[in-house]
Amino acid sequence: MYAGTKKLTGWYLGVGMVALFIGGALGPLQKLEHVGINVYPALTNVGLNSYYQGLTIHGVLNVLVWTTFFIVGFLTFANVHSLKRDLTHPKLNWASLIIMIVGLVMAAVPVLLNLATVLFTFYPPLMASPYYYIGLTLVVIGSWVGGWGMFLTYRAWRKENPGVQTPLIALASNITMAMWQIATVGIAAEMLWLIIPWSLGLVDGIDPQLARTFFWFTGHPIVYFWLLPAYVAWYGMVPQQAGGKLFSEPMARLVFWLFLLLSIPVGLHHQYLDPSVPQGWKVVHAVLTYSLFIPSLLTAFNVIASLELGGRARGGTGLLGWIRTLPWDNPSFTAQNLAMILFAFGGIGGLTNASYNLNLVIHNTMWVPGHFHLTVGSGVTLTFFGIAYWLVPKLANKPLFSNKVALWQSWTWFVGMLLMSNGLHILGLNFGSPRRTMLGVAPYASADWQPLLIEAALGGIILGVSGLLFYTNMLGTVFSKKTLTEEIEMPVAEPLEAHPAPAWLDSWRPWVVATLVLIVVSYGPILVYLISNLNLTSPGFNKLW
Amino acid sequence: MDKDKKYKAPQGTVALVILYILLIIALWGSAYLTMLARGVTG
Repeated sequence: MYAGTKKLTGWYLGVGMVALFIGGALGPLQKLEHVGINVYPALTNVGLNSYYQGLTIHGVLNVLVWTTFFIVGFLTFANVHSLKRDLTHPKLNWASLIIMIVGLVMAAVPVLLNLATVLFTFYPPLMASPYYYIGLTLVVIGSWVGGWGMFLTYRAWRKENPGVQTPLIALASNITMAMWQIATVGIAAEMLWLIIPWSLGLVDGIDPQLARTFFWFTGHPIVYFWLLPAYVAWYGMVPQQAGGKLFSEPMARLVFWLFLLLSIPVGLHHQYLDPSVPQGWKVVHAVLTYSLFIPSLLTAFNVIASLELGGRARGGTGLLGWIRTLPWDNPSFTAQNLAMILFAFGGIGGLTNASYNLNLVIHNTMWVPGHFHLTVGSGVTLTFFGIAYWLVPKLANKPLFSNKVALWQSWTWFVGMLLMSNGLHILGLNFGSPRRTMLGVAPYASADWQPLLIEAALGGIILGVSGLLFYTNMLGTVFSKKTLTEEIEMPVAEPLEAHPAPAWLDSWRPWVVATLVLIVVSYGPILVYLISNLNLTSPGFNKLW
Repeated sequence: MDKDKKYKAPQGTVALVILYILLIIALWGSAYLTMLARGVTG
């Protein structure tokens, strides 16, 4: 069923996984450099010129390419299967894929040629080849087009099913895509108005402060663009895999609407250190950032309660005895559950990041990569691995190559990430060790850092091994000669209470209007202030690497 | 009936969420204490 959508999803996932393989392979090399084992000079023959080029490839391919390709593919698949309706405009979705691939190639070539070693944040006045920026812009535009294909399919379903409440998975998938379309207005403005004309030489200078503000308009909600598809699985699928039901479906719907409302007007908490952003607006964004803790805690309660239902249905007793009876032999479940545990720690680190005075201490330190490896590197990526453990066999119509290897992969990722992130967090908070830095040759690197750098390197190596286990399983599955005897169904969690959620939780207009109003209130004055003080004066710097 | 009621009151979840909140207070608080111990604001 839905053969075209399956093929399309397979392409999105395949491209994303190739990107993650290349980007992920460079991760352990960075950690080894920090303990004095610099293998980059041995890699010049394959075009790798420096630690910083490796770091750029790692960041761009992992957090921009892997995530975006997987998400557009997964949400397109989930939307169709949740609505039980095929795509209305499949050519639009295929166009999305092609645009994204063209953009990826256009961005990847200058990165691989060392013409765009500007890291994934590409802060001006560092200046890369214009092809890098145009390529990344095309990846975003392609993801918009994929979203339009989803929206049109959803609209057709609503016309065909008047009065019927939208299934949770479809609603959550469309909310995620809607949030992404609104959030990326910031990066579009940065690229189209400031960076691309500047990198093409059409204007002499750039305003780095305004560019950074546009970047973080998108840069924080991109975290939720990564995370909400994981929530789609945690709410909509994992309870069924655990043998239970979704504890509260209305609460789940409310959470997705709250993320639409609150994900975007929080970007200035990434700019506490920026001198040209007035302090008062940083406070406003700090308060809004803390408000995101509400849907996050609601999620923790609702998802754990759903797991408790499953564990008890499987015979678990006592206050916590149900944890033992959860299906830990199912790698899809285990990967996602371990991802949730790691993400819980990432959430605590996020609260620290949002605390103004603490942020001043940890902002440019190893704490930050320690944090986002728990969120996007674990909460998101390990969840996506868990999804892949049922989705790739379904797409390939072949059984998973090895359950045992998948379980080993999940647990090694968990252990490796605990070690690495623990080391990075302490290095940042206790010692102020800088991030994005070639510490192996830093004359100020203290001997006190060594045990923690070694811990992080050990974690990085374990993560590298875990990644190899994942790819062994994916390739083993896709190239297996066995075929499925019974088709795998997308897991769909039933709600504990069968009656529909309140109508206001299935109504788009009030939530979208409130979202736009909150963005105008929280960003309007600061953008007016920065634009009215526009300084297109900074030249580009591209001879630094 | 009692069994159904028991299913709907996720006591283990409440315990875990309380534990999580305590962990947040402990780790967030320890980050502040570390910052103060480093004398950053001094």
